[in-house]
Amino acid sequence: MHSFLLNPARSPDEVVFRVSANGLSITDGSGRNLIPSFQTGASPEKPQALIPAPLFSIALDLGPGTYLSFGAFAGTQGVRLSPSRELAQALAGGSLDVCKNQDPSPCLLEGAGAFSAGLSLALGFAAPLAEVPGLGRVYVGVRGEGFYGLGYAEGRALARPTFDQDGNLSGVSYEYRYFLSYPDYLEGSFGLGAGGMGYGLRGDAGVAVDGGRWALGLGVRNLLGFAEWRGLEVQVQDGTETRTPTTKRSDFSSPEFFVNGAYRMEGTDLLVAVDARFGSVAPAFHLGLEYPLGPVALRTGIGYEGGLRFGVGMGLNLEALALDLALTTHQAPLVGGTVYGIALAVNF
Amino acid sequence: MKRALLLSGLLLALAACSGHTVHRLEVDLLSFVPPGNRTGTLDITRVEIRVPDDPAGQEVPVPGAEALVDGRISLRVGLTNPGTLPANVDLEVRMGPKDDTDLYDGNRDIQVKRASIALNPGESRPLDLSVDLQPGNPAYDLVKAGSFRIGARLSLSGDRVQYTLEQAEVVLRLKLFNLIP
Repeated sequence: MHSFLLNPARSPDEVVFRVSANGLSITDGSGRNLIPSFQTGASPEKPQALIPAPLFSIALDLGPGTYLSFGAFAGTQGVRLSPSRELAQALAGGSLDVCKNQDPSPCLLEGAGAFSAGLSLALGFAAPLAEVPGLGRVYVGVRGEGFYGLGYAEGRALARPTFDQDGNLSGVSYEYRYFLSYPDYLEGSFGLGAGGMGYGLRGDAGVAVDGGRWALGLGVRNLLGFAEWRGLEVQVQDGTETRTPTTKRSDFSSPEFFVNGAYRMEGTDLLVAVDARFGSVAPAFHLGLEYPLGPVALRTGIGYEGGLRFGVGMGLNLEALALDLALTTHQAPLVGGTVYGIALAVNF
Repeated sequence: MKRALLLSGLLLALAACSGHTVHRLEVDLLSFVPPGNRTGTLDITRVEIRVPDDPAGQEVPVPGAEALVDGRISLRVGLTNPGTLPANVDLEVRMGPKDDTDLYDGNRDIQVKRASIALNPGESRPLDLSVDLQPGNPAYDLVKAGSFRIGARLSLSGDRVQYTLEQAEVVLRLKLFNLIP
């Protein structure tokens, strides 16, 4: 079993949409404005060679520092809901005046998302290099991962208000496009005309230095990569649908960088650890402390990952079983406020 | 595929919500009436007004109406009898399907509620009308169809009365989680 996270998200009792001739507001029922804006994961505009982590995997040890891992993955590549600057201004102020300046209206709500599923095969290798005097032992590792795609869906929709000749709100206009791809042999099951294929390959690399009481690591995922999905692009604008067989490809390099370090303080077993992530994903940073008490470890940490996060937890490390439990908080998307969550990891 | 897109849109709309979250749609119908038309006088030359003027009323589209839980329609008219004779004023709310062209001809439209008030000479009083939309009510079925038309008529029996439209609002409560198949 890997790990899972339980986030009993704070949700409003009411979401109130108030519509008048001159305004539109969205509040949480207590009068607090809700601005429909959030993003998670990478950009959902094009495929990525950096696929979601497998849900289940089988790993084979091929020798010192070498392993082969096979698994099935399914997950979102990225989801984004974003209002234009004018719409955010209109929702915050409760007046649609700013939306009437142009035709079509500059007030725009965009929603986009991408989802992929398939089978992955990864080969990893790590080895120690020579001891560097005054520094420590240096390790290097590389990892290649390829995937065979079972499905890819990517969509983007835009909505904007429309007004009559008197400037009164008369409705909402929509336009959207989506791209679908699945293996040809599934065409009989789905019958959407999106039969094609998907595949990809990428390379990751890392280097680490073990200095005894301290360690430092640098890593990059998707340093070089390629993904391709052949399928069907459908565009709908003003009620007219256009269907086009399309091949979508990722960038050849869309790296995600990692930096992490740890230091065990002298005279005490207190461990200080930091890590940062940046590049093709939204930046994130974490700082944590761990204090061991026999087989038990007490932990606490703060971080920034789409908002401030805070967590406290403990770990139990027995020979045949390792159990980690943490209580976490983060900022809720859309509604704001603090979400309290529980994270649990079990290793046999 | 449209179903999948609708579901995707629904998921976005429901992001950060949970099963107990109620989505409330409040439509301020009074704001759609030009300020100059919100006050006036009824007399023997003009014994009734319609709000809005158009006999087809005001169309109210309701996204996700299948998830309607309940609703309320509220109207309030401030009335003054400046004449020398008693006056009776009737206020009625009518609703019809989105393609109805005349809410007052009794063809497919319905009278949702009617309220009356008697005013003595020199007397000023508000006339309130409130309708609860509950399952089993024909007005509830009209709203649940996804788009409906609504209008109100104020009529006078008597000499003269001055009116001011003070409130015209539709409030609908929806549980969008119920749309998830």
